[in-house]
Amino acid sequence: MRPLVAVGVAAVAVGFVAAVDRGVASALDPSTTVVTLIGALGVVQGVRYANARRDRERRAADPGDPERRAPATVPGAALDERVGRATGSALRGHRARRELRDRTRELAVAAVARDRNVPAEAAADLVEDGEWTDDATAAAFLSRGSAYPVRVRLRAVVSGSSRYGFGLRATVDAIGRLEGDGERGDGEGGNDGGSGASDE
Amino acid sequence: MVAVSSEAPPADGDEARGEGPVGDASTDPVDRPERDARPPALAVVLSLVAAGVASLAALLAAPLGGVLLGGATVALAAGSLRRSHRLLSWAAGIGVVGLAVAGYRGGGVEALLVGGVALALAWDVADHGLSVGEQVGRGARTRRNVAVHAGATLLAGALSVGVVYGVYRAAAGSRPVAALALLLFGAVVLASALR
Amino acid sequence: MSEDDGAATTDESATTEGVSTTDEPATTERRALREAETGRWDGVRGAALALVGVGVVTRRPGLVLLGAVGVGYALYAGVGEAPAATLDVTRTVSDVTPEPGDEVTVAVRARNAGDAPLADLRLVDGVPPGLAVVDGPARVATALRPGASVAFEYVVRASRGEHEWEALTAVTRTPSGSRERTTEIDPAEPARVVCTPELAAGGDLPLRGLTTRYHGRMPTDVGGAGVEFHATREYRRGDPLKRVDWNRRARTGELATVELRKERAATVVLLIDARESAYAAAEPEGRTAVEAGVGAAGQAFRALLDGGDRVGIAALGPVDCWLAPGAGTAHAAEGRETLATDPAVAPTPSGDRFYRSRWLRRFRRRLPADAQVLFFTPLVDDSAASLARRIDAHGHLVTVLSPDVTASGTTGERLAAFERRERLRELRSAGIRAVEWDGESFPVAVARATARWSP
Repeated sequence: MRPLVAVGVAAVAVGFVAAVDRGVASALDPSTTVVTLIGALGVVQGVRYANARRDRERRAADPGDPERRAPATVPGAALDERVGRATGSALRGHRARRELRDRTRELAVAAVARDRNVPAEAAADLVEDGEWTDDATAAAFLSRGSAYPVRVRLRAVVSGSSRYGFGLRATVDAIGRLEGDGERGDGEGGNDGGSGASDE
Repeated sequence: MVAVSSEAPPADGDEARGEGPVGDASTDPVDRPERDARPPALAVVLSLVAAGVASLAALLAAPLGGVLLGGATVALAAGSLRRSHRLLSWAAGIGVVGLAVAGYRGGGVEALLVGGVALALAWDVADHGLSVGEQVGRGARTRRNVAVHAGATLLAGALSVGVVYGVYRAAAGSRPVAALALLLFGAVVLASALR
Repeated sequence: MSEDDGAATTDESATTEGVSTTDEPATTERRALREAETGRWDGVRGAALALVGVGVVTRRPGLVLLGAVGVGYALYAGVGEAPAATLDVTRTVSDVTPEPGDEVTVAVRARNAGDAPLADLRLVDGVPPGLAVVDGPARVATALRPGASVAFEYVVRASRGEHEWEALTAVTRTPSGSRERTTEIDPAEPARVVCTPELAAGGDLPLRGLTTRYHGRMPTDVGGAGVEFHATREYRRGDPLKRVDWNRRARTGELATVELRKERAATVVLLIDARESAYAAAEPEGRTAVEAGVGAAGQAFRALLDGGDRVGIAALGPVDCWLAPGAGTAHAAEGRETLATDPAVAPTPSGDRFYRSRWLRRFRRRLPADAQVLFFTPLVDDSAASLARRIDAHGHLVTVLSPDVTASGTTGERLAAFERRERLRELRSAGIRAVEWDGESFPVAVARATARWSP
């Protein structure tokens, strides 16, 4: 750095002297061409310099948002993250896809067993065969055999999103319809209150 | 079977609080206002006024220069509105080109210098306003901060102009271009070296 | 937001106990981070150089001079260092013990205690994570000479719990804005607000149905000569007439109720799920399950105490919390304190690790043999359900009370809601009573449930 500073100081000093003293100025005055060249060089260098600096990221401190309460987690946020991974790139989402499918299958089996009043194995078979819902997409999602309907496959190709996403959403909708019959509350009918209740 | 008894009267003299531990009133949207992250009004106004001055100065030299500076003014306003630092930088760039054009068309040195400082002030105050808005926001008190900053930038510009103009007058008539170029080259080198 | 500078804020009419406003905080902690370049003036050097070049080429001295001014600005941007914010900060809270929902005004005063001027100073106050600001950002931007001070104020809405202010963030910049430094300032005595809600007076009748007086697993004498006289107690309005001790009435004219052994008061422990996963809500700004659980537990606490039961409080979570079952006014006060300010059920999670088996062992050791457990949990994971079953299997009657904090917007949220309902069903089919409620009054939900339980 030192020599650079010296050069700078020297240039400034000479420049000042030259500006005020005619004699030195005339001695220094180079030919027109040279001056033009130097000028052009200066322009080019300056513009390049400005451009390069423009790309550098502006940095400022971020003090956060203390005026709000610490945000609460919404149940299902982690699941949504997995859904994002599952419907994203084909390679990385492998585990997420399997996990989501398993969990949805469990829910579907339980919902079907309750809705049609059949034991769990029978319900599992129904889900496996895809006979638990009218929605073909949902049925295909959970059964190992069947394929998605053509309409869904076309939509997936056209919109660029994965079939898995369509299947998952359709299945969740279907489970929701089954759940909708069993209204949320403190026990549907008498079967929950009565079976195995420990008090009299 | 639980014995049915009526409610016991409140034990202490306190009247039963309607909400008690069950409900805070804290869930209505009014309680959670979004922080207003817009730049302070003073910063925007100052910046536009300075840009106006610069446009006027450039206009005196050449209409094209004035037009470009006018465009820069609009871009500054847009940058403040849309809270984009990038847009502000572009506005400054257009402004510099406008001043270059005005200078090329033979504008008076004084007008050019005034225009230069005004443009620098305009960009600087607008950019400062954006950062204050991002970190503090419009709802808070910021007047003093913006005023001090604008004043400092104005002072720095005035000092520079003073020195430069002084040297120019001292060297009146001789057009020591090379000398000036040398001066500046030295100063730029110094600036890079000192950082 | 007031616009005047430096005005004192003592026009609030309220006490300011506990927080000193006049003495210098001797041990203020200041943590200054490293200086950073903002990069604002990047490009000025290049523009200046270009202008000079154009000026030289075209022989226009005006342009060269303009470039010189640009260089001047580049120098202005280059010099200087962002100073560390040497501030003395004092906070004044208008009401240190507010009721829930009250608005509390916080006044902050910062004084430049160093000898360097702070040309560009931005302050962001460290509002406690459990409180929300309802008026005015807790921020200010200013410039301070040495010895000058700035004051600003804002209003927060009080909510249950003990809230302590965090460090104030000060961002300083050089006058040109080219460099920036952040300093965290912690005054020696942080401001604190403690909000202890009253337990709902009167105790809701339906909540008494939560405990059962005829616990099948309790050793009791049932029927025949075994219905033994246990004790007499003062008559309470509504006691069945056949239980009145008529002999005593004839003798002394007082009304007294005979307490049979079967009608012994129940011992109940209110267990609140306060693990990190329980700080969930239907939306990020909404009421968490822990808040709902604490609120419901407060109502149950009062109701059960009034009904003659012995009630205790415990928390499932990384921070230990145990109030042994008891009765009486002193115990009621303790319960209210625990529910309001115990760190285990703080408004925001503690972030410590939770050791489940260790917790369970300790809980089982403390739990009285005949105690019933009312478990307040959002049931957002299987762990809570399995815990309920474990405790039930150990011989304590467990009733699960679950606030519904699920949402139904995205796929993941709906799946979580379905899984929660499935857990409720599984608990019920395992013989564990479960009540869920959602925004509607907790006693109403309990009333509906108890109507279904009792024969």
